Amino acid sequence: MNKKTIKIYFLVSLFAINLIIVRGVYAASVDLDFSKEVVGAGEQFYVDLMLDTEGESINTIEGNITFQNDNISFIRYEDGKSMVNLWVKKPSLDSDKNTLSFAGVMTNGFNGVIDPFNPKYKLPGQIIRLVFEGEKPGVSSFSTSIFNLNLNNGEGTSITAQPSNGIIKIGDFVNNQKYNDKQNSLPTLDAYVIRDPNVYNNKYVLIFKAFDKSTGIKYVEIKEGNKSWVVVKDSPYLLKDQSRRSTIYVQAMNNQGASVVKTIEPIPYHFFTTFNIFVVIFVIIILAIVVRIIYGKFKKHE
Amino acid sequence: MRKESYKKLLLLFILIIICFSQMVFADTIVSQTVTISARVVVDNGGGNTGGGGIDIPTTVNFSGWAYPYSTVYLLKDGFLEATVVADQSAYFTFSISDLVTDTYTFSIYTEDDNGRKSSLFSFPILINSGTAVNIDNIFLSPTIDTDKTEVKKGDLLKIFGQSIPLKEVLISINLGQDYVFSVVSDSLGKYLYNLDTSNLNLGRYKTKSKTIYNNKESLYAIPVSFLVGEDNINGGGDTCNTLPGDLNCDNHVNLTDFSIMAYWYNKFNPPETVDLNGDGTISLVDFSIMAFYWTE
Repeated sequence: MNKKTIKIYFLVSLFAINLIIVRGVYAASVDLDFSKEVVGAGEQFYVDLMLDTEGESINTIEGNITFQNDNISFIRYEDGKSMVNLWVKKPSLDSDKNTLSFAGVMTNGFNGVIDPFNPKYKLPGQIIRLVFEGEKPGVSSFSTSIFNLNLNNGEGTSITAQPSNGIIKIGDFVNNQKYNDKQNSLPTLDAYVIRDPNVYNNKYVLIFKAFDKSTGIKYVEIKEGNKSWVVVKDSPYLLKDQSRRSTIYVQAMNNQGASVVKTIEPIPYHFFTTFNIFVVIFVIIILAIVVRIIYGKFKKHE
Repeated sequence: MRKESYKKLLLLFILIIICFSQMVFADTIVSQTVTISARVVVDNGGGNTGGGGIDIPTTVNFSGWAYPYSTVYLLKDGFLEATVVADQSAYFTFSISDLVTDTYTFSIYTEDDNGRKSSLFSFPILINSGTAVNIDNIFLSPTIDTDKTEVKKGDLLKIFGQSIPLKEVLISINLGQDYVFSVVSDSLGKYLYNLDTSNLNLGRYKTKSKTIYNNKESLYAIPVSFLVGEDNINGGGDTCNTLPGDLNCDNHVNLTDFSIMAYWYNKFNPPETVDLNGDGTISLVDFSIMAFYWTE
């Protein structure tokens, strides 16, 4: 092989490697991480969906995870450690109880978790944790859809992440070990009332966001004045009392049973509004006229 | 054509493709200057807790530059953790402790004298208990604004904001490709550039800025847009037309705007102001555009 041929082969190889690198930039990947390979009946385990952005900054993710639920049962999902900080579509099971779908936002983008001891290489980030319990011996398989992602570039450029899959084996033994993240924490809650012409025709709505680092939020509920507690799923929530004269209580509960309550005071009632002043003046005038008429009649009678 | 010529053509083709693909790759590199270091904290035996366990402190220290005397905000997992005021030279430091082993998302931003926000510098990091982590050289973006939302073609448009004092600020204007103008901030960090719009075609433009300090570059400011048209319309009001995602016109892109957009998700006929990419529906693309301009 002469020098020129070697040169050509070298450049072609360089080209091929380069193409792979460039292609990699636009191909983030998702993986399913299992906490255990084999569990017993009654034993809980979790599956983490991990996102490796491969250097790209990504700010939305949409997709689903399907699992065989013949031998296992779904307990709950946890998003306390998720890179997703706002859910557009909260994780929810379909009617067959074997597919969990969701769509979420990572504000300002996510391009990997920094390991301070090795900051040059970024780690994949958790999107969601699914907790299951083994029921009877067998094998359960898991698979994901192709995930739709959008780049954090101000234009919402769409890319995809290839699907992933995995299996868990449920052995022929009993183990009643339950999964529990033992960190004790209180939820954090942000809640306030607004009204905007673009939402429910400018009616009062509750805006809220609840977060719990350890296990995630179980539910958020609201109590308006003396009415009973109502679970609220999505922000914005249309308030029942549109007069805003009721005190509003918002409670966020985490999966460990710890809760935090936020109180939103009603709008203070001001008697001396322009309308009320006009009404008072009108009533005084009417009264004066009536008194004048009665006094006139009385005088005439005398 | 001879065989030799074919080979030369092939080589040329390969080189062009390589150069092109490298350009694409280079464009994705984020110019950031942050340095991160960590060390394991050795307990000297003096930190015993009441329960007999060993309490090894975990601290995360942040330092960097904002604007002179500006308030710097530190968010942990999206909620306010601490604030600090930068000194005269715009330098700031934070220190937080009592963290357990976990992944945390920290976000830092500042505000200029007129309440404009810098870009949010946000990053997830794995913190292990018993370590001291330093995150230094955080170089917050400048702010940027214009004196008009619409400028009459041929008139001057003032582009201004705040940054580190006495440093070079590069102002980019998107005209199909970026045109860059350089100014130097004053002792308060303020900068101003008078843009001659004579050479601009009628239409909408975006402008953004970044600061250069010791050959390091800050993040870009949150871009603002302006219209070159037939009238002058003064700015200084709300940012509905200049900050994408600010749906309720309060100069922020935050949870309220997200909730307004979420209300219209998968609904028919969303308002034009909510449909950020103008395709007649609210999809994840609209949320993605909003997430890019997020200010908290």
